[in-house]
Amino acid sequence: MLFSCGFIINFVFGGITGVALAQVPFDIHVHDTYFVVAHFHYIVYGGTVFIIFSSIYHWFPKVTGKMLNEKLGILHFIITFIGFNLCFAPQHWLGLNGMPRRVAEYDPQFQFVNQISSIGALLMAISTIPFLINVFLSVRNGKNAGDNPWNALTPEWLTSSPPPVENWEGEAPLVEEPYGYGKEIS
Amino acid sequence: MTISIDPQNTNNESLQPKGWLRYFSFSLDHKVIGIQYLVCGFLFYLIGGTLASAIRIELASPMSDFMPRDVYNQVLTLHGTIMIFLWIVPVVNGAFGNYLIPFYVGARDMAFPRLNAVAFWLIPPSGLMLVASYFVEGAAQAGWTAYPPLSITTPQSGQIIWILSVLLLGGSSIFGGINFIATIIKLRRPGLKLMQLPMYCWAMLGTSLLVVLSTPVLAGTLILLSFDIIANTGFFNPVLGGNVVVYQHLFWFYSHPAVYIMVLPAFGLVSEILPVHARKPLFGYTTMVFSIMGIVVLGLVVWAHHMFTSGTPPLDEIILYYRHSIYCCSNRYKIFQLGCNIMGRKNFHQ
Repeated sequence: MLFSCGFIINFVFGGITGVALAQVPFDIHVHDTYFVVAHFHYIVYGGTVFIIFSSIYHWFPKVTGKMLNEKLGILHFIITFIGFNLCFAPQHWLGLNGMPRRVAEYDPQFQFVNQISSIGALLMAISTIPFLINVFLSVRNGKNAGDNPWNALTPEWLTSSPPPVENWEGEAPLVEEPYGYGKEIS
Repeated sequence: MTISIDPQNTNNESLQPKGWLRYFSFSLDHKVIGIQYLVCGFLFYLIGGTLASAIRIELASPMSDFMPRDVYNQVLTLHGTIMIFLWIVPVVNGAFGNYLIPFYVGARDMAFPRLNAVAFWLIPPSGLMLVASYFVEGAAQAGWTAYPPLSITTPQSGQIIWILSVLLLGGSSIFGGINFIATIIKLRRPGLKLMQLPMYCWAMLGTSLLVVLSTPVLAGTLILLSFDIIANTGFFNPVLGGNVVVYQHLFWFYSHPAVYIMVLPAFGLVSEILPVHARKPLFGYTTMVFSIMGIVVLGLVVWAHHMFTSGTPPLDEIILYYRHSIYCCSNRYKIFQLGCNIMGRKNFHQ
């Protein structure tokens, strides 16, 4: 859930820089600079990868029948979020000031900001450790999840966790309102 | 050739290993394939992440002291390619799509389970080939875009391996896309209308359309590029009268939709997760469906905004600018809808 909120924040930010890049004169100014790198990573990491992690947290109980540890998950999110923003936000500044991308060397005036960015990247690398520990521990001895730990209404939660080979005992359920929250008590 | 539409006949259980060993088998069960995609993608994510750390260590000081310049270019290329083609695209499409779509449409498996297994098993060999190309003399170092003339003039053996493995991965995602379209359209449980599907199905339908329409263009482009490298043809080689900008057009005709191949399924997943945890109905279902389809259509026509500096005529640029702005509106709309989903409604507690 936290990852999803982080997704929206990051994606709004990435989207704003995307609109900026669409303006032709501006694009010619920042072309092939780190501004593009920052924009791209905000969309792809801040957007998609955050969602991949949030989906893993969401569907892990369905796949394995075990819950993931919430505290480790929050730790993972906080480190990733801080590391991510520390890594890519300074790159906007670098790009606007003319640091080219895809080159191994750069002007020494950019060193400080680049080091901040590298610390961020290091944090992102560290952040996978609590995630991996969490997955391994939870697969072995996590809390039992039950069939529908989130009280969700979409069809995959209406079967057992983990699901049987052909997905349902008997006929598949008909879910007419997959998002009917707040209307019915299940 | 007969294709079995009835998935009940395709799960020959007695031949499949049980327990965790089934994740190493050529299983036809969509759930097993989904997990295979996820774990395989995650391993490549770790490799790509290691490369990213190497890049940032290099950039921590202004001089190239951590690794030589050409190694830096190789690492950069490998990082981009692995993260895009082996982590994000297979995981948001293949992993979650395979796991969830049959549940959402009320089917027992995907429409073409064998094709599904083929699509997955193309990934590990081509991924390993890509990683192995790093150890060949002259690994690919033209960036994940492989723009000619750079990709034609740099050392070639690695570039050819790069092209081959991206071609295989493209084939894998086309197979996956066909499978998703067939499953969503044809395997719906009787009585389930299209507009009752969970949002992720719509996102995957849009994504698969993009995959099927645009990935063949990338494949064709890369084949032409490999002709340029192997057989000294002149499609993109300016020395022989080729046109470099043509490559950029063809490449971005795939790679702009590729951004949406990566991000549309993520939209879909987030619209599944948020309503559950916010305990609110999804805000604006119908408009969201149309904005997904709008993204599909517009996503196919805005590629040239990646090429503003490659000599596009000014009038075109203005047209593209407006087109892109409309396109962003459709995106923004989607994001603000999700925002509304969290904040805008009165909270109904269960």
